[in-house]
Amino acid sequence: MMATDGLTLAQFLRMAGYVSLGFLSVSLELAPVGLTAGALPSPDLLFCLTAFFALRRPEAVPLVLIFIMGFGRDLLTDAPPGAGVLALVLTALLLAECRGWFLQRPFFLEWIGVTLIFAAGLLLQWLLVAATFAPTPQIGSLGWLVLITAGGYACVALVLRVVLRIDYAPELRRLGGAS
Amino acid sequence: MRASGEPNERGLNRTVNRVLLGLIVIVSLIFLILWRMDNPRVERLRMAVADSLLPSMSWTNAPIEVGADMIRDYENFLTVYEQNRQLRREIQRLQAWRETARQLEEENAQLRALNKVRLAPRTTFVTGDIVADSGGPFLQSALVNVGRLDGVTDGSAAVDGNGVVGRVVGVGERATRLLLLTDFSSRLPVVIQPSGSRAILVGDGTTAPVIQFLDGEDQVRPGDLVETSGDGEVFPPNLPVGRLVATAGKKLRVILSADFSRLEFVRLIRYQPDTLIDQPGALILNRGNQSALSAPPLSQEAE
Repeated sequence: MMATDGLTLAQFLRMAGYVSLGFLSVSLELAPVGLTAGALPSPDLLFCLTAFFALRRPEAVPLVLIFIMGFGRDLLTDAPPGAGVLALVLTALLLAECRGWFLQRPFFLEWIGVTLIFAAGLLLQWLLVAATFAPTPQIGSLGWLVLITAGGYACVALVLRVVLRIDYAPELRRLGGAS
Repeated sequence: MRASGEPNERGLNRTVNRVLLGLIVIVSLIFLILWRMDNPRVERLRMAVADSLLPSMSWTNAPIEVGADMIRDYENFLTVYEQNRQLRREIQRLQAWRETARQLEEENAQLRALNKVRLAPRTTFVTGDIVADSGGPFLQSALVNVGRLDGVTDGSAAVDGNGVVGRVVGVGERATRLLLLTDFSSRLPVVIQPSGSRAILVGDGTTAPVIQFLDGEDQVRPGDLVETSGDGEVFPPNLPVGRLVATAGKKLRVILSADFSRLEFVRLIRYQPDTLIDQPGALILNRGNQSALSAPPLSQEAE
């Protein structure tokens, strides 16, 4: 999440990778598969991707980039613009701050931690929308989105780690998680 | 030198990040407030993004749609025997109705001939493919791949083969945003037949929206047909919406006619209500004609 570091080619490529994968995530979220009210929601794949990068390659996800991706997603998915992106930025920032703790723990704990932080972000969105007196869904109905996104995070982490070989920097692992 | 410079650089980074975060929070809140105020700029921005990005996103939809179709076909295959029996029963029932309809059609034609009715073809439509849905819990909407270039206007009704699906709330050049009837902010004036009672259909995020502000509650029965009333002159009247059902707590809801589970294409209706001239003040031309008439002739402009 550095703002003034010089941009190396590797960093630029990682940022481009994040943008490309983010675009793909939003496309998948938008695919029209369930228009029925009460149908299971699509997982928040952009959050999964951002969380994974924020923990492992925070230099690839500067705040401005997360904001652009999140705001674009808010506009495309017809979500209340501003609420979704704010939750995305704040959760990514929180995850980046906690990456030292996550580094020393097994993936299962990371999974639970990311799910809880996503739930907190979703609650923040709900509160922001409710604060504007706009109609909001029942909080209970958001539980499905949390569960589905938790499943989505495991899939995203598997694909990015196994297929694309994106993980914590080896020197960081050796140092034992100095962030 | 480098060792002493690093803490400074880290401090600068932290300050810049804090300023950026503050800006992001402010900008996000401004956009949220503008959205809530129904500022047209937000909708224009939304449609501009949809116009520019949707064509490039359609390639990801194709494999997903193929997968969804395969699952749906498999489900249909499992229930084909039961469907076949239902269809046979339906055919028997419809044969009786067909005869009734033919008689009514003849009677209708005779009455129209007697009254010398001339039907103006004022309602046309354009059909579009649903290319995206909101997928989120806060809004139930969809994006369709036709827009202003195809003659779609804001507020148009969207229907499938069975009934009303929703209405247009944002129009781009090549894309249109539909607010589905099931969305929390959907409100639709309806009339309940045969009693003719008027009401507002209010979306609440469930598959069966709620009936509110019903006049003549004692005149309606579960199973009654719900149609658009045409009040407000945004939707054409008498488009089928659904059937009335009573739920616990004496709440009246509507089981929608439109089949949202199989929604791939929608018709967007271009409706122009009749102009009724019942008082001198009503003789006002619509905006398009007005601007055409008020513009000075070309010869005058040249002068």
